[in-house]
Amino acid sequence: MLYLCFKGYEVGNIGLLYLALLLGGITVLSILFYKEQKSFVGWSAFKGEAFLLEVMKINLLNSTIFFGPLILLVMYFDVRQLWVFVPLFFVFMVAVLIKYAYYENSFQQGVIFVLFLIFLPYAFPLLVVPYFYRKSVHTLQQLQSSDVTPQN
Amino acid sequence: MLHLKIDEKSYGRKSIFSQLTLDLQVPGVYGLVGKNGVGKTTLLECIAGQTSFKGGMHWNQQILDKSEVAWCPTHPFVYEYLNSTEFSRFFAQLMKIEQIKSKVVFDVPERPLIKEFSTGMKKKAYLNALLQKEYTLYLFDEVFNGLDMESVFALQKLILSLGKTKIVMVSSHIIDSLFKICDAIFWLNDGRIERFERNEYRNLELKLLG
Repeated sequence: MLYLCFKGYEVGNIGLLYLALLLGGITVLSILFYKEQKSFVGWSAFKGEAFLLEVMKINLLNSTIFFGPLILLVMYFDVRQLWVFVPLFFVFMVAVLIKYAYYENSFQQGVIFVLFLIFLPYAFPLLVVPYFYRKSVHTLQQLQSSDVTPQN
Repeated sequence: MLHLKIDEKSYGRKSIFSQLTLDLQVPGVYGLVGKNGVGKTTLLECIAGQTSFKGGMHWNQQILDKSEVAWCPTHPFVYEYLNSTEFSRFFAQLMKIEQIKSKVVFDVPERPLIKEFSTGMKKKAYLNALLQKEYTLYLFDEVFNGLDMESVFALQKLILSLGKTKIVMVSSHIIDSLFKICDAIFWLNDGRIERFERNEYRNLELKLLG
C-alpha cells in the first residue's frame, strides 16, 4: 500500500493511491464482515445500541491504525488528497451497520452492501443509512434478548 | 428459583421435547445424563437461552439475562489467534468485568496462541475466561471431556464450592464423576426427564444399564 502510494506520487499517477486504498479497503472490509460468535453478542454487557456504537468505535480506531502510515504519507505529499479517507471510512461504518442489520443472512448482507456501493455515487443510498442503523439496533436487541423467542 | 417449561422444541420435523418441565428450587449441583442424541445439550441450551423453543424459562418468576448464565458447551469457542491472557481480557471487556479475579482456575501457558493448544487446554483457557466473574446460574455440558485427571479434580472441587450457593448443572457420560458431586441427577430419556436423589443413584444405575 505504502509503496503504491509512494510510487503514485513519484510518477504523478494518483490512480496508484486509489489502488492502494482499494487494496487496503478490501482487507479491512473482510475483517469488518467477520461475524463474532452469536453467544458472545448475547453475553455482552453492552446492550443494543451501546454494543453497536462500541463495535463502530473499535473498528474506526483499528481502521485508523491500519491506514495510519498511508494517511501520514498522503499528508506529506498532498494534504488536499486526505478527503479520500472520508468516504472510505464512511463505507466501513456502513459495512458494520449492514453486518448487524442482516446478521443472520450473509447472502443478503453481501447483496445489500454491493448495491449500496454501486449506487453510492448517486448519493441516495445515504438516505437508507438511518434505516440500517435502526435495523442493526433492533437485530442486536433480538440477539441479546433473554426472552424465549417462539420457535419458527 | 429456576423454572423451565418447554411446550415444544424441535429441529426441523424432529421433535426433541414436548411438554417438558424442570424445576430447581434450591442451590446445588445437578447432573444430567442420557443416551447420545436424547437432547442433553439442547436442554442446557434452552436453559442458557442459546436456542429458541416454545415455552418459557424463568428465574424467580423473572427472565434471566443471558449474561447471568455461565455457559460452557462441549466444544467451547475460543479465538485461536489470541493467547489465553488476551482471550481472558477480551472476555472481561465483553462482559465489563472490572474486578478481575487474580487467581485463575487452571494453569494455562500464557504466551502460545490458543490454536497451538490441545482440546483440553482450549477448554481450560475458555473456563479461565468464563469464570472471571460470578454468575447466577452455571451450565456445563460434558465439561470433563478432554481434561486431564488433575484438572477434573480441580473442576469438581470448584463445582462443589459453586453449588453451595448457586445452581450448577453438569451433563456428563462419566457417571461416577456425577455421583461424586451431584445433589440430584436428571435422567433424560425419550423426551421425558426423571429426577433421582442421592439415595436413588443405585436405581438410576440400574435404569441406565437397562
